[in-house]
Amino acid sequence: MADIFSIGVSALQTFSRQLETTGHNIANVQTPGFSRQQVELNPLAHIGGRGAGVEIGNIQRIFDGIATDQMREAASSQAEFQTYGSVLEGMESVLSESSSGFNFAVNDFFDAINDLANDPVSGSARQIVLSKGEELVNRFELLSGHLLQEENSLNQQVISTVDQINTLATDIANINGAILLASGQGAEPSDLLDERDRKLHELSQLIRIRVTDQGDGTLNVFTGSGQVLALGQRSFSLGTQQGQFGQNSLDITYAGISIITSQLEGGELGGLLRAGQEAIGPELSELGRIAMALVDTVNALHNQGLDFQGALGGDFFSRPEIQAKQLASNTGSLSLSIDVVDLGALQATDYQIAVNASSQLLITRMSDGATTNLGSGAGPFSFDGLLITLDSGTADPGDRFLIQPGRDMANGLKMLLVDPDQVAAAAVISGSAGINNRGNGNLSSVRVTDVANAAFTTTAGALTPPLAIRFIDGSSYELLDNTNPLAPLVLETAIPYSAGGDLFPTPGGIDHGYQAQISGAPQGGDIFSFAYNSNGVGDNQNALALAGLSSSSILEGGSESFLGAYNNMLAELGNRVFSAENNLGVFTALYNQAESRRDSVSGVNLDEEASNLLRFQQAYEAAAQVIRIADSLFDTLLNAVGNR
Amino acid sequence: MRISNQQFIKSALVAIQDQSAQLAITQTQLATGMRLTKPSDDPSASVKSAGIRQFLSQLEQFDRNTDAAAGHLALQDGLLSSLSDLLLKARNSVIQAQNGINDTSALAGLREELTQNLDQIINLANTQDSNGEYFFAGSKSLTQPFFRDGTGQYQYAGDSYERELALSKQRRITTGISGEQLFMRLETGQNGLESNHNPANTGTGLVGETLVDNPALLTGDQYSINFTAADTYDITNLDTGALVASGVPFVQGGDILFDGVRLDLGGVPAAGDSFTSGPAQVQDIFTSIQGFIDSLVGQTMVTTDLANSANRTLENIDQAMERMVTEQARLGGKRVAVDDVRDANATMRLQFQTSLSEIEDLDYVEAASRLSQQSLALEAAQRALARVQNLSLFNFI
Repeated sequence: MADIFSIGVSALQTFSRQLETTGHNIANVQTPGFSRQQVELNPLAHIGGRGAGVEIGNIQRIFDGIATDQMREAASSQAEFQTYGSVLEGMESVLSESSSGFNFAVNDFFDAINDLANDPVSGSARQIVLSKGEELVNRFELLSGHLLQEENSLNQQVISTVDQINTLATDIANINGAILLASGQGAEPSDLLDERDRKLHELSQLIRIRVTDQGDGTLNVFTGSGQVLALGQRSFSLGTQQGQFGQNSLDITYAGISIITSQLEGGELGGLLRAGQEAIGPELSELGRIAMALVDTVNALHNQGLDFQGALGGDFFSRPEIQAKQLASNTGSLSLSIDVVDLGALQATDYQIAVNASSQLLITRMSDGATTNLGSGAGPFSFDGLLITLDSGTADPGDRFLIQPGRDMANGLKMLLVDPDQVAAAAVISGSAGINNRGNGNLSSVRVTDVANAAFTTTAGALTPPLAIRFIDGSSYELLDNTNPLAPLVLETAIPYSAGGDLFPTPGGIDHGYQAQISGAPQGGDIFSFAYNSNGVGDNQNALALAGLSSSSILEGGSESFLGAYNNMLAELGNRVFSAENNLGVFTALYNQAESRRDSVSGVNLDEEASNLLRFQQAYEAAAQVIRIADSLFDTLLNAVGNR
Repeated sequence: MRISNQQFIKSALVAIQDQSAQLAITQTQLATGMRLTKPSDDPSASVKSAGIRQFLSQLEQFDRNTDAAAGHLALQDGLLSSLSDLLLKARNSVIQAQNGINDTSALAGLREELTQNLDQIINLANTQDSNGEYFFAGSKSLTQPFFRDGTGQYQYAGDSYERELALSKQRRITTGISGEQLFMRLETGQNGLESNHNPANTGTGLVGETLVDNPALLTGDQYSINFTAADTYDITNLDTGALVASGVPFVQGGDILFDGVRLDLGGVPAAGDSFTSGPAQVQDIFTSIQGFIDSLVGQTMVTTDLANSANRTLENIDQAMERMVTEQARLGGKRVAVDDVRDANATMRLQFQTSLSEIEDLDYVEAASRLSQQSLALEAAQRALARVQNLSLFNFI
């Protein structure tokens, strides 16, 4: 009879625990990451098999390890593309055609020059060229400023993400310790396990992780590339530092020493790093490349023109020089200087130069990682349109340099012209056919090739000496010093003439820094003379040539105009955003699927809990009846004994 | 399959969020009228549309250039017409001056007329546009091109430059005419040949047309025709000194023929008279007219000398008028070309705008029906969630 009591009591205790657990489940129906719990029941029996009631086993945590792993994996990718995509979308809206105003600024500038070509003496047309030039410089500065700002805020986010990663790694190590302690006491610490899973999940949203089970209840956590973040109860931290060449982009360090930036991926951190490497950096380089091309071509042409006052056109814009940064740890004394020699070959990327054991310079193009051995010569070396000159000093093996050609260009442009009269719209040289020429030879455009030639520099505002050519007959001519047109001096004679061929440099090597061609058939005695285009204010030849730059293909080996390159950059950015969105969709679907699987197993279903409540309540009441029956049996027995 | 409560809500939320996102896109499209609002909507189409917009922007500039060119050309056309009229007036004055009945006062009157006329021609040649630019100064367009220097010579301060404008990427057109071309670089005489009388002649020999009889025989040398008697002449090549012909009989009204040249000599030369014939020279129109004005000074009657000068002046004026006609024809051709380019640009713009619209403009009908479908779907998802939320066993306990 005492057995019936104890059986009843064991059942009562068990069912009340089951009701408690059901209540716990219901209470946590909205708790993220909560795994529903179930009470394990074991029947009790005496030796010999007679039943002795029920015993509470473990409070079991219903858990699907594979689904949880899948969720973490998908969460890493999802967070990566989410972060990456949103940074890029921000850039897209800043750089896009309609909001950046870049296209308008470039077009306006060249349109202003075109209008000047239509009306070269107009002071207002000149003024507009200046103000549009100023606007173009501002636009470059504004856009690159946006990108740099974006990069700085990205760096801030990287720093705070790394902090969060470190905090989570510490938390996980601590929970590992608590779980170890609890498991030692025999009970499965369900809620601690849930807590750790939540932390792991949060961590996987920040960076891709791998998790291994130690078998004693603790988990080890590694980055995707194998750096330990948590090992049992110990945690290890990541750090950030400025780029090793002193550049603006951050490096991630591990355990305070090794740089692991390039190894990390996944999660918010992966997305941030990727956005910096794949978008902001290249975009700055491209913007800078366009700026360089524009400045250099406009300057080169402008130098070959004549301004309103009759002076040679100076530089229109200025741009910063390309700097070679070096490691603080370089032991050699080599310093490099970098010039642009071929705009068409220029690429929108960074380069690293490393000195190997045999003192050869290895240059690596960062966009595709291709490395070229420049050898150990004295240089200068020409690579991708850059001229790399070894200025002074010697390099030691292991020294490294960073070249970021376009990076600081766009925000370092300046407009050099201050006076509208300084816009060089006219050609420097006016060529003319002698008034008594009998042939139908025509002097086609005269092109300046070198304004540093003594012909231009000896006396400002004049050619020294002015030249003329006089045809001896239809097939040969002589070159004259035309200082005194009445008695010209012969400089070189019997120069063979071929229609349309360059007149300079002559076979005798006379080169005065300009070229000209004659078309048609001149006759003996015909004279063509070249003079400085003094007062040639109505000449628009240089303005026409400058205006033509807007559509001329200068970049990418002569296949891309300034705006073409910009639009390609935008399209590539658009492509990246597009594929980031697609990837985000895919990984979100994967995540939802894994989460659904996890929830299906571990999530709380209120209907189920309601029916459990009813079941356990009934069972509880039944167990209470058992005790009541036992009690009444006991009373019956007592009464029987007492009546006697 | 077991379903947890969180699953219910999450999957419903995912559906609602998806629908809202789609709806938001359609809404933006309808609000902007654009199918593409940012490059990532369709990266390859965005490259195309950016390229087209670039073309359109260039076309806009080319339209401005075309307008500028058309304006320049129209103004020049007017100027050339006025110049032609003045030259014609001058020509008439010179013809009148040949009339034998002219007396001192008539010749003085004609001289006055021609002087006025020349002034007007020079004024027109020095015309400035609204910017103060001289039309016919070449590149030195702020310097007055034509003036008479201290020695009475007509000078040109401009150059032979003719301004070009860009009408399209490929097409440039010269919108300027240099004064050198128009007024200075003019041949004297006719057909590349010029014949003159000797002012000291005593006969009435009047040099008329000089024609090319046989181009193959032309030497480009200077010849002298010397009358040894009233009806006989010798011809000497002055460059070689060779006697080309001697003792040739002169027939009144007949031509003089030598080395491919046919010279029409009218009147009656006297013995000892001489004439020259040779390649044409280059002389500006102002000097030509001024020369005739000068030869009218103090004239009391129409002499043979004056009649000969008049003939030469007429030849020079004709050369200038022919130059005007040629340049006007060129100008007309250019104006047609400008119009053609303008039309071509307009056609091109229309084409580009059409393709741009095809790429980025929204199909409103399609978008509107999409909008109603999407809002329906969203509403359904929302209702479903609300309905499912109410289902719970607890309602029945």
